[in-house]
Amino acid sequence: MLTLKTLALTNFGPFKGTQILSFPTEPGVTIVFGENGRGKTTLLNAFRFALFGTIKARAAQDITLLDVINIEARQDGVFSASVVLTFSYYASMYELTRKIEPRNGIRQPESEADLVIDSWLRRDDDVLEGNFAKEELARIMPEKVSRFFLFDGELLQEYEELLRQESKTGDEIKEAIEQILGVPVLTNARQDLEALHSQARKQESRAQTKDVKTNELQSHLAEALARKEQTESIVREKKLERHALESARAAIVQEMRKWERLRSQLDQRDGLLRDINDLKLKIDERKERLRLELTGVWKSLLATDLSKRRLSLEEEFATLLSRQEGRRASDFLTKLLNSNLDSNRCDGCARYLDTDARQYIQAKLAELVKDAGIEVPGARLEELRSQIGTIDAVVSADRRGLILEIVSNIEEARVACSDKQGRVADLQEATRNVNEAEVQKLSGEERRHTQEITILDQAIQSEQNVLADTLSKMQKIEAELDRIGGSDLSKERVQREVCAKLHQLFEEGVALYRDNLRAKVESDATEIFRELTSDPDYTGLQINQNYGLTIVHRSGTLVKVRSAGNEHIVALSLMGALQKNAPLRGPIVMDSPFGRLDTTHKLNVVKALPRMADQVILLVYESEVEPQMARNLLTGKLRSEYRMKRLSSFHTTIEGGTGGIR
Amino acid sequence: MSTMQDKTQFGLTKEGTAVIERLEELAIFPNQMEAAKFALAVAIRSGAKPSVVAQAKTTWHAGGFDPDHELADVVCILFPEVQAPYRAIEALVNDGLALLGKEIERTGTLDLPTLVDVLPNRAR
Repeated sequence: MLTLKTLALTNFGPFKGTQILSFPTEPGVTIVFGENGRGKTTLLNAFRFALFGTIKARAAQDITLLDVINIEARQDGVFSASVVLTFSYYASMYELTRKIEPRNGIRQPESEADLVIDSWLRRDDDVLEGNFAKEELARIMPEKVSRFFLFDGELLQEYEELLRQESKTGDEIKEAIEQILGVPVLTNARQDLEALHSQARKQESRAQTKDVKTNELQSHLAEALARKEQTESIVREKKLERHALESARAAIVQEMRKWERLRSQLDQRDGLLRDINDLKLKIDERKERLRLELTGVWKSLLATDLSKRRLSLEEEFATLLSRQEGRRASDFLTKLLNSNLDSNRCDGCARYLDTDARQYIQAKLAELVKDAGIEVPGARLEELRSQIGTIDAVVSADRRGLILEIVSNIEEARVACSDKQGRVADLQEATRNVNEAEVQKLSGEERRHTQEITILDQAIQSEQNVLADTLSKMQKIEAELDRIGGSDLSKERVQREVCAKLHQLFEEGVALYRDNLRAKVESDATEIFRELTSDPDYTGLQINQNYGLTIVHRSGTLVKVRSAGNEHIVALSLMGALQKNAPLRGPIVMDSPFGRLDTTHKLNVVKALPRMADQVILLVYESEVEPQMARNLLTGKLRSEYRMKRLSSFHTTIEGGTGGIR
Repeated sequence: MSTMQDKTQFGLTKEGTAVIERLEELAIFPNQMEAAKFALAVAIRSGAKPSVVAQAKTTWHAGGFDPDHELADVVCILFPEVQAPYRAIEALVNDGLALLGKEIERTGTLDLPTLVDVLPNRAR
């Protein structure tokens, strides 16, 4: 609960210098008397300024920050004003300071723009500034409900607006009434629930979407799991099968050991038979090659004879060629010597021939004539040349080396084949009395088992690959499921339903709470009203949806038209009822609440003041409430009296204090 | 012989035909013509001289048997006295086949290394 302790004013309005009011903490009334113009409304504004930083002007007034600073102080060159309010709120002590001062650099402010408001709030030993202070004050005393704590009697008729439909002021007041009554706690909760409901609906929707994906993934996971189990089962079966085969093969191998030598001989024989077969194929292949290579082999056979023949042909050819050349030389010389004889001169030395020389030449010519008889067969030379060419061509085609090599290969293969055939015969002799079929059967079974084991190993490996693949897929699906998170659609649905039900509950609760509150406010207001009213036929008040109150006549008639005084009384009754029903409790500071009341009503109101709040500060002028009468009416409840005293038109001092002024 | 007209067609004797068929059975040569030429060479290497063949059955046309006349040239080189090479060839082929026939008869086959290599050496 908020309880005021002191209010210190410095150069605030008519309060020049620093003046302090102390408010008793015991439940009761503090009255501040002041004639018109002394500063009662300013004092009410000082509370408002301290708490909210605002100043409320009455109609047709326009107050600026500069106007707030005491005129005489300003004349003295002081351009600052402040209000310091101390109060307790539950266990904490607060000191709230709000100050008007010139903006930095301005020595003599001329308008509001030259001034700034600075404020801070001390809570116990902590100083809160800026938004922290603002939030703390909003928590202690929300500005919206201030009208019920700081009220101006001149403005009480505003509450008549509550009786009018579609009134802006009425709506504001109604909102403020609901706020002070704590309705927002429920309406906010209802809004929060609505938001939660909406959020839950979205979450449910998301969960539905996620659920589809999750179901899909889980379905895949289930499929993969089934495949994994199936594959594992196959692997197990195949391993068992392999084990059985391995055992069977081991038994066969054991049996085969007895026949090992024999088997070796048979294997050897079979190997030899295979070799023989290969060799035969090789021989056939080489024979075929030889057959092809034998084309023109006649040339190879005759190469030696032809080479020999070539020698004699060459010799003949050389002889004939030499003879042909000798004949040519002889013909040339005959011609030359005849020419010398004819010219009687030697062509070699150019000398004339003497007798001896002519005789020598003639002798030579006679020898040459003998040679001229020798025949040179040109056709034979050509024939020899052709024959030698033919021999060369045939000899060059000699392929005896190649043919012999092929034949040699064939022979080698034949020998090898023959050797192997001999060994096969020996082995067959050695194994003649053996049940070869039995041994072969064992050997065949061993091979078959080995083959089947190999196939099984491959199948097992293949299944294990499938298993590894399936496990990998499962891990991926599980990771995906982890990533998207577990979807719990039913949980989201329950949450949404709970939110919907809670919202519905609060919807109904708000309506019910309002109805109950209205009934309570109506009842309490009626009680106060019956104390305040001077008309015994007015038996109560009836509340409407907007918290507007209508006087009910004894006859049950609603008094639609009422006097200004009755409006005042009804408004005060509402104030009292609201204070009584508000979770937020605090002091009431009332400025001139009796202006429209007749004496009876005034007396009734003064008497009722202590019941309206624990701490009531009444700002009145003496002719409005006569001090002694107030003291009599508030016996034991009048905790303090102050009086505003005029020092000048612009300077008021406040005197008095705790215990009241007698 | 030197003035004898040469043959354009020639062939094998009955014995020669039998041998060449046997050779065909043995599948040593790619065809009968090659076997015949081989036989001719064997005959020459064995020292045979061209003679006259009686009652030879026409088997080959000279142009088909020796299209480039190479074999005829070789026979003329080795036997300069030969004026009708295809008659000589016919004789030598049949002589050769007779030799081969004996070899087959003796060994059951043809010992090619002997025929190709050893026999000529022995003949020399």
